[in-house]
Amino acid sequence: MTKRLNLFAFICITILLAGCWNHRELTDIGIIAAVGIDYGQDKRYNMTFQFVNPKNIAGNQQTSGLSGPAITIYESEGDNLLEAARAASQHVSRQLYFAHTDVLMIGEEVARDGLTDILDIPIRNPDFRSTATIVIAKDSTAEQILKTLTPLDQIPANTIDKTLQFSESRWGEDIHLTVGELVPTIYSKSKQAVVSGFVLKGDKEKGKQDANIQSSRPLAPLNADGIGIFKGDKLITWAEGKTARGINWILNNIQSTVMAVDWKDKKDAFGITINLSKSKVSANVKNNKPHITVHIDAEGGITEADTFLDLSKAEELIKVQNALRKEIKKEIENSIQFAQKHKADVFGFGEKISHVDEDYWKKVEDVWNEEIFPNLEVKVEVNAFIRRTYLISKPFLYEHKGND
Amino acid sequence: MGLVSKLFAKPKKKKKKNQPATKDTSGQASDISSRFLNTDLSKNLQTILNTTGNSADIIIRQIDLADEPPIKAALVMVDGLIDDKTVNETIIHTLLTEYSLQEAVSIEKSFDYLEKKLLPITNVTSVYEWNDLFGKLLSGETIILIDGVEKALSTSTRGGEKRAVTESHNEVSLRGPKEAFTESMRTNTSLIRSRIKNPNLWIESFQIGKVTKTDINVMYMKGIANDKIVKEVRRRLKRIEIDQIPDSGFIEQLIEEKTYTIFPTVFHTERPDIVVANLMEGKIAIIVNGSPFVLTVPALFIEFFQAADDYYARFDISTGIRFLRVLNFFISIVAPATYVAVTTYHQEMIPTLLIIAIAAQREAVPFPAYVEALLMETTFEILREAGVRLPKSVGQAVSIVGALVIGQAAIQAGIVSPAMVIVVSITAIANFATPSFSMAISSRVIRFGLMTLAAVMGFYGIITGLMMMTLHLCSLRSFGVPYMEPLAPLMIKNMGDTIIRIPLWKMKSRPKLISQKNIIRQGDNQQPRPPEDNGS
Repeated sequence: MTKRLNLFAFICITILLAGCWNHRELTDIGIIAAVGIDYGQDKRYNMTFQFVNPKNIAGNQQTSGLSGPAITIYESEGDNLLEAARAASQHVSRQLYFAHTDVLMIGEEVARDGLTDILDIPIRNPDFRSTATIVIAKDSTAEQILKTLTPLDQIPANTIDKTLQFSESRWGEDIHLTVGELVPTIYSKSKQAVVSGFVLKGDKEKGKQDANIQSSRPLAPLNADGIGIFKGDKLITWAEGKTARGINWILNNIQSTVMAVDWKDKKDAFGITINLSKSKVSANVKNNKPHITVHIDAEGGITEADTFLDLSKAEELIKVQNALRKEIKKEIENSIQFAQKHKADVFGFGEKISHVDEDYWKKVEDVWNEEIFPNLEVKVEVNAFIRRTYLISKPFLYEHKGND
Repeated sequence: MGLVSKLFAKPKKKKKKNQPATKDTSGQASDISSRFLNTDLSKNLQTILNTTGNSADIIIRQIDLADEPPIKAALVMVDGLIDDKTVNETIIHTLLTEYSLQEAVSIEKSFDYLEKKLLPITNVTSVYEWNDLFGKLLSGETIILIDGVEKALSTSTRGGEKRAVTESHNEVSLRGPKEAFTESMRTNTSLIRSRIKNPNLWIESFQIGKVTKTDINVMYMKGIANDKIVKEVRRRLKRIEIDQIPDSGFIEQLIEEKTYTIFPTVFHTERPDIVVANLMEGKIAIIVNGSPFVLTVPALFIEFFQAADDYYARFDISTGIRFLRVLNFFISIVAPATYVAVTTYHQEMIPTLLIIAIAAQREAVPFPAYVEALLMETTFEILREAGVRLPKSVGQAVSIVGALVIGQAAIQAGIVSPAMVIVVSITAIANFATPSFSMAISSRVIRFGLMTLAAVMGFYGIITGLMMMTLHLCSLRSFGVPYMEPLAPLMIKNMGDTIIRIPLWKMKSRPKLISQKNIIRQGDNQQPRPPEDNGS
């Protein structure tokens, strides 16, 4: 009997020991959607927290009375990030809760000085998810971008996250990168990091006011814009437009995009939707000289034809196909040149070399970005295929207009 | 044990004093001076009157069988227990009109004459002892006493008021037989007997209840049921010493393996078709007179999730429904606990938009999630309990008040969040979907335990609780058969009737651990197929 009593007592004690130590009610936590990091006074860190106001998210019936913005911004300063985050308790009535943080936004100034100080806490802290998207506030501070209210997705963090996601998969000029994906590349000698940028356009002051979402045309829209090229942990330059897409081609980030192909005299006569793309980078080292071959397989369909060409004939299609192939090849070669100019191997060519010939890599790894990569011979092979022309084959409208 | 005996240590002395008195509670008339009947009719009648305290429902009808030599006789019966028609038209009529003097001239002969030749009654027996006589008299038989004979005739004239066989109220099924057991044991055994026309259906009779002498029948299929289990049932029934058995629930509690468990280890049903199916699996049915609920043992955990419909509907549908039922049981024990754990510990596990929605609802709620959950669950239990006891006419009022209180008002007053109401409703509905009430009720108890564990330890607590529950389930036995069979110990052959229900022709064997020897239910090649396939 005493044995049983003892056992019972033990069980009770273990329950008390667990003692609700990480118990927190929903009303005691402030859900943070995005975190921004900038410099404050004297290069101290200034953190911006985008709190969600659950009551003000439309769709909840409880909102009947007061309604305010969907988010609330709090800022706080500190010598390191932890200090800055904890210092927020002085003016935030809730525990900061990072598990639902989708976006880590870094001011351009901070990014140019280096990310090392910033990236430790997001991967060390169990609350913060390494799946949060990392974004750089291009030409501005993170604070400014996070303060902006957005209309379609009420939580601006969602707007940033989803914009990147869709523009990466539907357009191809941006990169949706998570903190966890960024960290391993930040000090890698064989691959340099790339991070997407976000820019605030229009009236920056109006962006934080209700007016921004009350107006049919947002006064200060948020835009995904370009890919930041890193060297080590420092941002060095921005790749924009087609150059950015070229990088994505090689990094195998393109799921779907659209290509414009010139035909005879007409610029951009064909609009081609690429919906299958695969890149393969192979490397070899011959006579102490590295060679890289980039092979791209792209498949798509003609979605727009603004000139007359009988697309029902295979030989005509093959001509378009060749034009497409050249277009893609040009784009890729351009972005390789761009990267070589800035001496940043964002494609991970060094990584491939290290897999093929480790001894050679050991010798060159310290000078790779500075000396070898800028002069690297890269062969680009593109295999483009037009699978379909969608609902109509002959562009009959142009048949009557004449072939111009 | 130690603690209990210590607690009861003091009153021991009293117990001893009471002992002689307790012996008396057997209810037997203590003032009968002799064990056997007297030869003198008037003395016998006097004894009967004295013993029964001249009760109003004892009828004594004295008749003269013959005048020369005078043969006096008396009929003793209990009003209300006998079938009036049989007594009037058969016994009294026969005795008065057809008694033939040629056959029985002397008193001695007349007794044999009555027993062997005269009475057109199914069952006529001689009674020598008073105990025997009262037992028969009070169970509705008519006793015939003859002056000068030191024994009596007992004729089966049981009758009286019985409830007709009606539809089952508690175990409704869409398909399958509708009739349910009644309070009359004989009706109940006949309902089973009529479904199994096999001499191997054996019935053993017991009388339990020192005072009430309640009739109890134990039914089993000789050759299918395990003899050891039959013996064990007999042993457990015989050792019951209690004054009364008002319902089979008493027997259940007195024979179950373990009292301190929330899981039922004896199955009860009011449907004869379920009892028949159980008998065919080698189980043993215990029928208690006065109770429309028949017990079957040994009971398995999974049995409480099997409804009669499962076997009457086609197997694919039954399998789906069986899945759903086990899921329902699971939901009904963990749903509120999960809500508590997720909203107080694991907010990171819910999709962002959902947590924002829940957070918005909880913003104005003044209680912690656990208190909120406890409040709602308790309110619901109160409503349910109120609903069970109320007369039908008032029951509707309760449901209206309940719907308003739990549903509308509580949310509008900001005391609970709509999400909590959804959780409570899902839990309640899932709970109602368990076919067996005794299992449903135990899941209600577990739910509160898990909620507390979740409030203290989050998911870790829930998992700990579920593990403890599983361990406990695995440790249970019902009449020696592991409660979790065939899940633990794992019996692949018997898995076909657990969370899935395989086609009937595939269920070749009976539960192995119950019957043990005769486990083949049917032969091979039972699959229906077109004729040209024959033999291939």
